[in-house]
Amino acid sequence: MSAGQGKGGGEADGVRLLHLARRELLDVVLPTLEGDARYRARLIANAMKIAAQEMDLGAGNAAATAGELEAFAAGLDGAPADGPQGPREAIRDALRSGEVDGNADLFALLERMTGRRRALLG
Amino acid sequence: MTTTLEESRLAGRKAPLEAFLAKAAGAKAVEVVDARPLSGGAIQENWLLDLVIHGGPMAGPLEAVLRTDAPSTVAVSRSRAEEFALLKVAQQAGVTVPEPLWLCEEPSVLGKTFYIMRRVAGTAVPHRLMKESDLGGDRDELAGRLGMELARIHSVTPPREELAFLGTPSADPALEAVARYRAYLDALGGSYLALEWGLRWCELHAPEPQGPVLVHQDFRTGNYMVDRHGLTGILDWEFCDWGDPMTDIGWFCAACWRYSHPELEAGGIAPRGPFYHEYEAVSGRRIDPQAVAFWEVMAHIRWAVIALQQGERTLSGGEDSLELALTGRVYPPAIEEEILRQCGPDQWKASE
Repeated sequence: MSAGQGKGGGEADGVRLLHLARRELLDVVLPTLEGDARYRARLIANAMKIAAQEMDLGAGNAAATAGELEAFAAGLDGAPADGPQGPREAIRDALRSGEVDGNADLFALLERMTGRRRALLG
Repeated sequence: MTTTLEESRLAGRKAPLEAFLAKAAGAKAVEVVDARPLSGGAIQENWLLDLVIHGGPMAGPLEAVLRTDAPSTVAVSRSRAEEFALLKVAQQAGVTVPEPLWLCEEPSVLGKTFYIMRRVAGTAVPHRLMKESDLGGDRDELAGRLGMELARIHSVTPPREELAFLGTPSADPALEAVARYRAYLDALGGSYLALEWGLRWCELHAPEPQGPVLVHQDFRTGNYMVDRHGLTGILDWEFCDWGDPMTDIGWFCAACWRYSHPELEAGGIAPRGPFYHEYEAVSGRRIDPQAVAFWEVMAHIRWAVIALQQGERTLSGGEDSLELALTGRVYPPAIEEEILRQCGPDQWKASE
């Protein structure tokens, strides 16, 4: 998880605040808890980690994925870029129709997309 | 966290519950000495009951479990009355289950249907099984025993009058599953392309159907109880249906249910060998590795869809549950990676 940055002028940004809050939760609060409360605290810490990662990397990842999906969809039959549906739906329909069976380029794209989503989980 | 009987939600229902139990047990009276909720189980609510039965054929102390619906349910889950019927059929088929004792469909007792089963010893917690190598006894023997138990479940075949609620078996469970999960994804909205990739692979590589037999559909580590000596009971019968027996083999061996021991391909507890050997010996059915590989891909798709549905309950279902939200967020990417690993371009046969 990124430790975040200060916004300047003494103000921590949201990522920094989440990082510090999570550390406090894990280092100070968690050791005082038992059983179900301990489990719940771990869930909260996990959610904070994912939220901070998304604030830090989410927009860049989403833009990279959107660009790649659009480029791939543009090469499909039926000019999906001009249609009413987005590139995701066009690729889904191409998968269901068999147009991209075993397509190595699409497979590589799906691997990158999944990898980016996993990276957000820390 | 412990909840005393007086603090529990059963407290106000103690008298009607005791009256029901006395009548069902053919006893003079039944005393509920203690009732503690079991944690876990997003769909069902389970209570540990300590009973004392006065008079009748079962006189004496009885450790039991009361199982009823949790506030939120899943549409595909069987009702408690159906689950009770399934437990009885499984018991008759020789499967090791918690003995089903009494079903109550009278709303005046608890306000909802419930049933009572005899408590079995041990634990079902997967992480304990992963960490404590002596839990469950010898692991190859445990895997073999589970193969035998699964073969006994699969010995139940349609038609069965008491299981009429299962309906007519599908002629092709594999292709029906493809259509069902596509419909679930459509209902969720969005486009889950890695899952769509897996579903298309499944459509092209569906094995010849076997069966139909009774399939458990959640036969995995975490849903059976063990003590230090071995298996004590198969749990969680709420997803049973008629289907292809390889469904359960694939679900049990799927990587997503091996927890911290991915190298132990039979449920994270043992190699496949002992599990397969006992299953084949008892069922008389040969396990086709290709068919199992198919059902392992389908197992991951199913688990991903379930995780997304659980996450969706917090988005539009009105349930503010961090646990469900994390389930929908954390599990799908790893499951999708596994699906892609199993269905790479070199694993596709040419489509016609």
